[in-house]
Amino acid sequence: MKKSILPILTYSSIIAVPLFLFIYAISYIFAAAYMYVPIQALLGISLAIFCISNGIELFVYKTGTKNVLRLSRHEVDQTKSTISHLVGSKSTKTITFNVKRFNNKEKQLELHKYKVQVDKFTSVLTALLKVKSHSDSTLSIRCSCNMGICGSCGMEVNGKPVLACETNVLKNVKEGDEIEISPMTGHPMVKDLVTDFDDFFSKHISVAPYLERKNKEEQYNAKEIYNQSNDDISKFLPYSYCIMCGLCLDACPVVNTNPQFAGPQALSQGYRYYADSRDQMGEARLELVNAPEMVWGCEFAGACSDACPKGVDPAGAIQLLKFEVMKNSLVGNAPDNK
Amino acid sequence: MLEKESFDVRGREMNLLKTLNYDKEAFLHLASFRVLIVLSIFMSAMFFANILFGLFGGYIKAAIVLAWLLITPQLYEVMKAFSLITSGGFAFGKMNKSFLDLMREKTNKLSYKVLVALPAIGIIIWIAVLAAFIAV
Ligand code: SF4
Ligand code: FES
Repeated sequence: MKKSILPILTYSSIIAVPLFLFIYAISYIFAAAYMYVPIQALLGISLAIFCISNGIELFVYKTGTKNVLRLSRHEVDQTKSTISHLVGSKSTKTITFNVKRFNNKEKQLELHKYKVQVDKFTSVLTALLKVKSHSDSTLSIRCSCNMGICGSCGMEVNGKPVLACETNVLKNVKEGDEIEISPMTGHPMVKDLVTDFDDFFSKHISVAPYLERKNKEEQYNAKEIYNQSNDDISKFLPYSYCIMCGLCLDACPVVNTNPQFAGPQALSQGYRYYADSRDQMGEARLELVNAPEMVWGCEFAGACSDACPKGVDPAGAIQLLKFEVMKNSLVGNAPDNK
Repeated sequence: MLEKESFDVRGREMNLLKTLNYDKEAFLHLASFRVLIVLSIFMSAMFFANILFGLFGGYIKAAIVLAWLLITPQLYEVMKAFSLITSGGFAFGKMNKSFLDLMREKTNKLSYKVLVALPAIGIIIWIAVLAAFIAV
């Protein structure tokens, strides 16, 4: 039931409800009264299935955490912190950074205000590092490359998940020359702007994110050459650009409401390896993701793909993966013996 | 050694509101879907009460309009997903720009353009039929 019938019921009801609504409206417009009763009955059945199957998928198969965060707004005003030495004093501007820091003792977000002088090139990360070096060394941030490669500086700027090192301050200031920074609440929080990626990586591992050959000897000591055509490569290339920044999980409304859902990053990687002609795990991969908390958890909100800084398009990858799962359940054509 | 402690605020339906900051379409789609899940059981009961006991006859049209409006965002996304799958991820996909430049010949085909237009055409027909239904 859990694996095969539920997705079928869910998807067939999503198609059936609009279909019967449409037929009812057409029969009403053309005054075909003899159609009313059978179509009302079908609509009633499909609405009941819609409610039950979607309700089970959304509300029963999730075990959300009971922790409740109270966003207390008692402001710890630290406005004394003004950074003085900045490049090109003429073109600088003082911006108020409203940083919501996660207080791990009180288990709540606390608002701290910092005034930082920025120029037109200053990124959010640079500004926060200035705060840390010059006015408040207790501020915790995670970062490394400062060039959008390592994926460690994810946070929310004005409520939107972004890489701090790739986000320009002046392009994002709001009225009153203010900018709002907070940790990614779509991940468990550790301290200030630092979030915990243990859950993220365990989900990543759950999709077997590596190429698998049937012949283990060959897998670990390859003798053959695996040529791939442009077409072969283009099937998985964009999905292999992932830098594991976690922005997609923070943006995903399903992850935010159901932590059990594997999420866009893991599932897009599931598709990336499935689509690679060198991989031989075909059907087993589809089995792995054929579950309510895997591909069937995705509601195609698409927010993950908008947030992704590398153009991985996880939402697209998940729909392609769903289609492969469905196709394989119906006609069993997973490419196992490539 | 200090144990790592983390605090998780995921798992509440209220978190959907967060989506309003960066993706209003996603919010509309998910919120209307959840409302419809709850309402659909009452609507289903209403249809059967109407068929079996002739009750709620006057409210059927209003229920149809409500269900129609609530399922519209979902239907739009289903059509988008159809176009996306049929085009191999290109139509409505948000793939890396430099990769898409290399794949330009795929996104210039007529079939691609038809797939991109499909959801909009579908929704126009869908809304037009609703308007006619309300007007009759
Ligand atoms: S899919 Fe994109 S947003 Fe998600 S972790 Fe990978 S790079 Fe980051
Ligand atoms: S610091 Fe590496 S991606 Fe931002």
